[in-house]
Amino acid sequence: MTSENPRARLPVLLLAAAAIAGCQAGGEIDEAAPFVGETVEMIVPFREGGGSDAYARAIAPYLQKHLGSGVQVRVQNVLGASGIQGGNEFALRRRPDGLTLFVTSGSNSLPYLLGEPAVRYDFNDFAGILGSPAGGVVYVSPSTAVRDLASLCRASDLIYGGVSPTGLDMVPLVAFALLDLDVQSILGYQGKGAARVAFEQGETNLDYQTSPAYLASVAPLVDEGTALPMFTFGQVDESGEVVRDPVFPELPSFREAYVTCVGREPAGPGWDAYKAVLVAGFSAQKNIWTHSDAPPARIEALRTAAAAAAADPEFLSLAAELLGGYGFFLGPEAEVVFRRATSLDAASREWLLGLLRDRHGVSL
Amino acid sequence: MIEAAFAALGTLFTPSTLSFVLLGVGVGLMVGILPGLGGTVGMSLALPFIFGMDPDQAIALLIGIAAVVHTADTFPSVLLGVPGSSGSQATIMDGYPLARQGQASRALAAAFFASMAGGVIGAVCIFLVLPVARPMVLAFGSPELLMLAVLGLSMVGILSGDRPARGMVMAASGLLLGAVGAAPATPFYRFTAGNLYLYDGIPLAVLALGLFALPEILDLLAKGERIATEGTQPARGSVLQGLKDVLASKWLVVRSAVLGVGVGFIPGLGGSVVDWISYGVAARTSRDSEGFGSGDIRGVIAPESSNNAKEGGALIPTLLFGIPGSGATAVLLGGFVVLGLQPGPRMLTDNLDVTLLIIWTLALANVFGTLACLSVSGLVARLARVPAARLAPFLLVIMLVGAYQSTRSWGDLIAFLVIGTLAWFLRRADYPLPPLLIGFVLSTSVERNLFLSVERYGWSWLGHPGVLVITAMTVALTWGSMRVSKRAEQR
Repeated sequence: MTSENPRARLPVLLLAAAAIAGCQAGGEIDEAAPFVGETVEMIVPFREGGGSDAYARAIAPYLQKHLGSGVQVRVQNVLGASGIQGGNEFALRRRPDGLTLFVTSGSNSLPYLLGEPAVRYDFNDFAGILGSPAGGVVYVSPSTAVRDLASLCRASDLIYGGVSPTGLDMVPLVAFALLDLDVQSILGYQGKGAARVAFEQGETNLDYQTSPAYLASVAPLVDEGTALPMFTFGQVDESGEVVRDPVFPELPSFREAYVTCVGREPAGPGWDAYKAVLVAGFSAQKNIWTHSDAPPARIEALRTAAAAAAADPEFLSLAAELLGGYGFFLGPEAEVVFRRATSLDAASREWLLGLLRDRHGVSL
Repeated sequence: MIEAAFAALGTLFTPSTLSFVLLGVGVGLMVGILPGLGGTVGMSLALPFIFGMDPDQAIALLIGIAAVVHTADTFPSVLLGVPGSSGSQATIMDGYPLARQGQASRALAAAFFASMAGGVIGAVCIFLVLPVARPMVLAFGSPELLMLAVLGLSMVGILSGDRPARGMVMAASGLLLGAVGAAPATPFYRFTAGNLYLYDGIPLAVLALGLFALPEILDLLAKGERIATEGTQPARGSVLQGLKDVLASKWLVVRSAVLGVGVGFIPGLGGSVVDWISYGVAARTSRDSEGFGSGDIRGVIAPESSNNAKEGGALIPTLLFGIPGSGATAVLLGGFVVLGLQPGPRMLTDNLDVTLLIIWTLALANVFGTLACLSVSGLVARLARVPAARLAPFLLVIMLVGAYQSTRSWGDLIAFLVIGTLAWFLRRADYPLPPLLIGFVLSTSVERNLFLSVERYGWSWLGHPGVLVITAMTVALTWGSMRVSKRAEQR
């Protein structure tokens, strides 16, 4: 607005005044119905059609339903920088009024954990609304010398195919390092789907898949006898222990695999690093957050609505297909679990960075 | 399987499912006509609505969209010289010269019939190869994918016209541009200058629009002319002429369609090059090919047959392995998750009915799409006679909107303008632009698969049988085209 005519400025001033008045009106929140007449936006940092987007769109109508009448819940996709852009937008540009939610995945938490310079958001400034775990199963080809867990640890012909050393592959890579497996890790496949095809082609012979993909594409191979399941990554529970994956109760968790191979309970900085990447990548895979300095009444209402949605049988049947049958972490519980990942101590951090540097040539 | 196929046909021909196919076709046509918007955008638009929908209807809707985008995207390619989506870039090469010669209606009609034939052939092909598709996909490891990408790059030769050295320079620049952003196997961001927009690389739609659209509009405005510089043929006769053209090159249609299915079928090659490959092969293997690039109708028929067929081929890795063969099938995968369908080997057993429904929908939507496009083509072809000064502002807005859909940030608009301006200068200096685009599209494939092949096999992959076969094909095609151009020189 560089117009010299003072009259032309009048409508602009009026608009500005109206906008300010609008903001003030929005500042007073009815404690009993803190969202009436408002629109809640869920920021998904990926394109329509991805896993995060499907999850957000699945839960949005149920959040809306349980937030009460007169509330709209919308999904907005903010793309860029492999998910980091959405986080930056949420943290830096959205007002902490409880009307904006942020749906995160491992692509947001893992770069944060590693201190990627483009990340300008801090999970410590977020309040957890709902968390949902994912799981992963490591399997091996019978073309190798491996027949069971004990022989996995002695095998010397293992080739693992992954996507990127700083993505979800960090979890298996840390696991293999702790087990001291003799494995050649080839990273650079376009996605976990492509890596699974490479496994089927024989280009690799060691792989992992997340639970839904494992059930759909690897379970038939196991039935055929062309894949042998070894262990699950396990789940980090509220007390910080790594327990068996509830979707695969018959498979040992990584902790048990460690005991089988190494002969003692895991401990030390490497183990803490494993738990951190496991939480960031799997145990707290899809999380919904809002700003922690949002009005407390709204945070509370969001948590209540999310808890009700997570118990809604209609949503549960949808979620079972999307997420593979895991439960939910509610509000503060989601935060407690997640903080285990973000409160990595210096020694574990150094261990993790050392692994990436020495074995995978990645200096961060 | 035949029995199951008829059962699936029965599902398709219920009024509710059929109406969703029509709705999908409508959306797909709209998205295809608008430059820069492709199947990815169209399906993304529909995705939020399929929550809670009946799976059959949702699939009809999504496949309806994907099937016809590459039918309708011909309009801007032929009439304006601007790719309607990433699948119809090569159509510009001969389609636009035809429009300038006043033969827009003929080119459009030929393109639509070719699209329909290609789409239906694509559907038939995937039905036939379904039982053996899994082992076929598994035959392409990283070394084979690398050599296929190199085969794609060899198309640069034919697209550089009589300036092969400049074509190579442009292709190399394209490879470099494709390297902007995150590296395939490491968390390093290249050539980003700390700019978050560049972290994911330059979006393909922005590059394609910038390269072809902006320079074309600038030139039209500078000369103040209409697109059609010569008298326009009457619409009715030219539709018939277009059909005759397609019938006259029916083997080209079949060949290009099979090629399209093949390229779509191979995951990771990037469906966006199929039209260029098909154009290049047609130009190298057709008789009297000197007219290619200046208005040969076969230069329209070949890419249009293959880009519709590609969507069929791309469904195979999507359905059976969960790895998308094109941008649109990537979104389709998201839709599957929502509907509770997990792609994988069970799509051939437990979920065979869904797979067959998809194939039928694909074939039917292609027919619907062609009929719809033909019925409006006479009207739309008149655009070519509108003076540029009136058309340009409208086009510019549409293109900016199209570019902005890539990541919905300012970066899209800035990148569009910067690339467009550079492209205008390059065009003025007589540098061919298509090789740049090919280099760009194949850049990641080449880099990723070279890296994987060497990591996995050292150099022994050079002796893999598949690698040798594809290398032989590349050499034969390159040698063939060199001979053709030499003969043309001697004349």
